Amino acid sequence: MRSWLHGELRRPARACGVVLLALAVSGCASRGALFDRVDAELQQGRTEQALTALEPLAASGRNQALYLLNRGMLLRMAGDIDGSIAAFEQAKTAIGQLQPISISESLATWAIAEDSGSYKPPVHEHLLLHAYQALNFLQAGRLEEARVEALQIDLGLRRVDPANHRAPHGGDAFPRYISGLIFEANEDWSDALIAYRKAYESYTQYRQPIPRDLQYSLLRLTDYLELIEERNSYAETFGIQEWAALDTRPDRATVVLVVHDGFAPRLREESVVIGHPSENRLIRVSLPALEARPTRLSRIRLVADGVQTDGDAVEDVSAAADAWLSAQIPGLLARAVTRNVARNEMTRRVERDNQGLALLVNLVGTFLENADTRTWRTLPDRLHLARMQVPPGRHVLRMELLDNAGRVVGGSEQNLDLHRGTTTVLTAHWFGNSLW
Amino acid sequence: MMIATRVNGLATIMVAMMLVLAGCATQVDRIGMEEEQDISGRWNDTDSRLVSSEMIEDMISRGWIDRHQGRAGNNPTVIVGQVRNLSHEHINVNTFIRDIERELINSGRVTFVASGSERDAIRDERTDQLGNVREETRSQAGQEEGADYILTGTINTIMDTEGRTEVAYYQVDLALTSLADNTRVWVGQKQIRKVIRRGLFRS
Repeated sequence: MRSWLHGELRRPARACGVVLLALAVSGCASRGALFDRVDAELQQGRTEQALTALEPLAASGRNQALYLLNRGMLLRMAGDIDGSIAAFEQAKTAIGQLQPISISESLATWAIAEDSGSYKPPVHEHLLLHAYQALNFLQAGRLEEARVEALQIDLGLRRVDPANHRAPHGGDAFPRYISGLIFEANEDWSDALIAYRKAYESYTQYRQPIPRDLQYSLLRLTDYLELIEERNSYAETFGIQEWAALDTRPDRATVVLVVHDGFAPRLREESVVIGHPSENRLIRVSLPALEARPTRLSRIRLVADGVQTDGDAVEDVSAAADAWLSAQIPGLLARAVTRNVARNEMTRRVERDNQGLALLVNLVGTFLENADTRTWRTLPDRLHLARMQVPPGRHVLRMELLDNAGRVVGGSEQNLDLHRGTTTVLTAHWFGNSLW
Repeated sequence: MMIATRVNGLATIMVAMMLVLAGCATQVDRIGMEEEQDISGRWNDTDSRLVSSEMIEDMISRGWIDRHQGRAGNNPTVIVGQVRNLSHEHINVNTFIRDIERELINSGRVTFVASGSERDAIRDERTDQLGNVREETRSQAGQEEGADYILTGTINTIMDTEGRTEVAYYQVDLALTSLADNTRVWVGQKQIRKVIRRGLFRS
């Protein structure tokens, strides 16, 4: 009798399993589809439509931080700097509220599904939130508030790693670098040097190239602060013999060009569904996998009055996300196994009284077993930065994007009035075939 | 009997639902301005009021006012200049400056003049009066009172973190400088220390 029932159950179980798995995939896909729509609109430079496409996420309480991070970025792309500042501040509050542990959410992630908890950004995204907010304030000419962000970056890193003040899986180099730039603009020379030094250490630790502007900044400041040994060590390491001295009374205007290169990596789900070896049940393990979306961009160039400055990649979002995800996998795997064991045990208990219900429990559990593929998708794959100083006045600034072979793959020109002692931030977005 | 039981049951459910909905509704409580409400541990309106009140009280109780009155024969005229936020928080410095201005005016011991941006708006209004206002009610240009002293300052923080406990140390420095000869006539400092213990769990 039992074997018959099992035999009869097997076919509907498989059929239902296929249907439910299809539903599960479509459920996950709806959030993915939302971001695909956002990506498609951005590729065309249609930021207003991208904001509209993002809006359905606003209703999700669990995804408030995710919604606000993306909204802040899209508003920034749309040129609404004040709106972006407000959204990022709301994101900070939402993330702060998620710091204490929620017992119900923790239980849900261990017993039901990985994405049943609220979205809490990893450290590298949290740091980028402050870095982008700092860029917003710089762009709005609010230097003092940009400085607040630099201090919040430092405070955040001290909370994460009280001993070394470092991000556990990288991603702190660019936030430190931009902090140095802000301190320098505020004429806080020693704070600027400390921030540049920490940026340099982080780039070195993660074997990333040291941006040339950072190399010169370290030399200028160590020279000015008369840290001779340190200055000589940098000069030797970077192979630089000459540099312009630090101008403590700037009669020039500073231009910072930031290029968002491509889209941040997306997380897609990779699932394995197998039948229980001895019983009529399905086991499903789903883990996120990183899918980077790089472009051909290699470096950028800023040209003004016939003088050119090359800029480098200063942040590799994909690399930071990859390092973070690799560190998460053991924990994710442990939780996936625990969920399957719990579901198996529950199915076994229900099966004693009602085999139909047991089948349902097993299928629903399998249906719910999803990987958490949430990530701040409107971030770029990489960020490039160039900085140059020009005399105050009207300038034609040309931006050029270069590929690995040194060919110019994109560019634009802008007429700008630049004022003495100010820092002007220009932002461009490159998605492989479109620049805006 | 059965109908009565059903009605009772429905009433119980409705009351329960009303209670639940009442619990979900936004609640607003008006509280007195003097009442302290420290929700996040960050710099707030109470800190701004306390610091401005104590510092201005200290400022006007010092000897520089008597010295000025003895020398010039009138109350000193003060303008509030830049107060820089060097802390790790986005502090609305304008509300702090307003609190300082209020304390200065209410002290009655100094004459207070409007700051730079406000002066521009007032001058625009005065210019506008020229062609549009009856002569006898028109304010004349060139009658502004110049400040004798400028009040400037900074707000700084030092943060110390250990686990879920944080100590935030705010330091406000204000300085009053003579516009005639750049001499500092008063320097004040006020510190606030806050211990913030963050909860381990949330609902």
